[in-house]
Amino acid sequence: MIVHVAEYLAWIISALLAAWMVFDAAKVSREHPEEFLTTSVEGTDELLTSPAAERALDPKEERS
Amino acid sequence: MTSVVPGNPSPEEVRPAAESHGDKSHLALKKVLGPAHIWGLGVGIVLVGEYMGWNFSVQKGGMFGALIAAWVVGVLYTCVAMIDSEVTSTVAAAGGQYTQAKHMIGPLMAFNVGLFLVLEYTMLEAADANVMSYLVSTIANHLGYTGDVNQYAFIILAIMVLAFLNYRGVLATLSINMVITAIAAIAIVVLFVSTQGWNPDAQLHFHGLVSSQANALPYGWLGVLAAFQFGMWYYLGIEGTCQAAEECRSAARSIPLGTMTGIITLLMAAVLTWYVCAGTLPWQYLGVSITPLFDTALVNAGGAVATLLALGTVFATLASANGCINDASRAWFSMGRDNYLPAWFGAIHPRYRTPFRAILFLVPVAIAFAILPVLLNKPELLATVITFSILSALLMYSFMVPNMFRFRKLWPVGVLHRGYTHPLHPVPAITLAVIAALVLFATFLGYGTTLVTLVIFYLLASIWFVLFRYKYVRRGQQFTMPWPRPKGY
Repeated sequence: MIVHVAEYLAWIISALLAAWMVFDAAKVSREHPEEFLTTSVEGTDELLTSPAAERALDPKEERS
Repeated sequence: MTSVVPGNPSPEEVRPAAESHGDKSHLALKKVLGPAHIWGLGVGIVLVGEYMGWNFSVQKGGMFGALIAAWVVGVLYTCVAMIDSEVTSTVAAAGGQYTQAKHMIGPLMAFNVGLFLVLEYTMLEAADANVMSYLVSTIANHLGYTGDVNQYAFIILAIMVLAFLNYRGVLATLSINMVITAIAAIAIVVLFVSTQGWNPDAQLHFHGLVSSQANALPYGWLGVLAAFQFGMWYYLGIEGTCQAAEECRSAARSIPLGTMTGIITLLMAAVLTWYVCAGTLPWQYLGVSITPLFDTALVNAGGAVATLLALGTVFATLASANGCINDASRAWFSMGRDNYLPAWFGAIHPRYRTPFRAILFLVPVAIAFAILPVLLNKPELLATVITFSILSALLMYSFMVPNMFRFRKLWPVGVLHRGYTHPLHPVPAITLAVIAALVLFATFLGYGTTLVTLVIFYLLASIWFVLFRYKYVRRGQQFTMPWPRPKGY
């Protein structure tokens, strides 16, 4: 009996989650321009690009 | 035109989430992860292989065959971890090896590597969800239920819950992954302690192994070679740490730390797992057991330890599927962002800062492959699904060899800041090439048709890419890292 209840619960939870995600994705797509949603650019690592880190990691600095 | 609705972020709320890039605002994945999350991601994807799967190497090569496979394939993955740590500590971008291929080799290679990644993780996720439903069924039977459990319900539930978690944000997703992975890893140590593993005469028995070759190496060295394929289970997926590079607070620090501590954890877990299982179960049984660590706990310790190992099995399976959703979606998202796939997939959620369309798109794909063995009533198809994952991973490792040589040639040590520089180059790359070829050959012996099918699939996909997608790839914008001009250019 408890297994059957668990099975029904599994179906219901799955359906709710799927519906929420699809609804949210559609809503976001409707409310924000596509150009904005797809504007991401590949990241850079602050450790490797900050001037302080550049100095700290510079092999010439290490040698001196 | 954006509008403001209750419960949805206004443009003003979105603004802080968007990062300034020159004079143009843009959305970005959230940089919130540290080395512990990366450890959890890498080990989490893999640890399920210690709980189940590695032991099929015992069936192929006997106890010693499985141990040799653990060592040799362990060397392969140590090379993978070293190479990935160095290259990804400089390529701080989602997509991991795909982005490396894009920078180092070219679009066609990058497209193939991206597909290898997506297939590797999606197939693994499908297998995990299938195993999860099996575990639910087993637990129900242990509790006295004698009927059949509806496997579809629990396969779909596992994938939906984890996809939802991934959709809502990377920090919570990988924090949970880290905790459940740590519990699953500690459970293996608890089993070792409970069997008094430091004293081999206490509860473990190895006399049969050293006294009889029929027990230790039943099929000789050919069996050892065949065991390599399943030796992959001890470590398959550790390279997934690279996918999170763009979401690390500092990829140069987090990726090498998380990946190297991850492979060290896995090497220890692999040997501990082999040791307690080989000292407890006869090889004929161990080679076909579905849950070898749990069975070992039942025989040797029982009670609370067995319950902990059962919990560890469930947690390891969930962590693996969870990490796979994270990694497959990042690879798919990156390919969309670069127009290798429709740019629609390259979108980021303005509130949760996740690649929400890539996550959603891969859900039905994972469900389809997870339910296939149940739908067709062919449980053996699960092995084929997993072999798809293993072979895709092996093809990707093959790419990592020329990639590493090219990286060191174009940007030698000293020219480019690296978060980690691996020692003894080119020894790790050459070792990786030799062992990957050996494992590919071993897999070909067992699953030749699957390998050929997969190669044909990638060939057709490449033709599709060249004919229909290549024209959309903006080659001039492919190179995104702030690196100096490569040597010789």
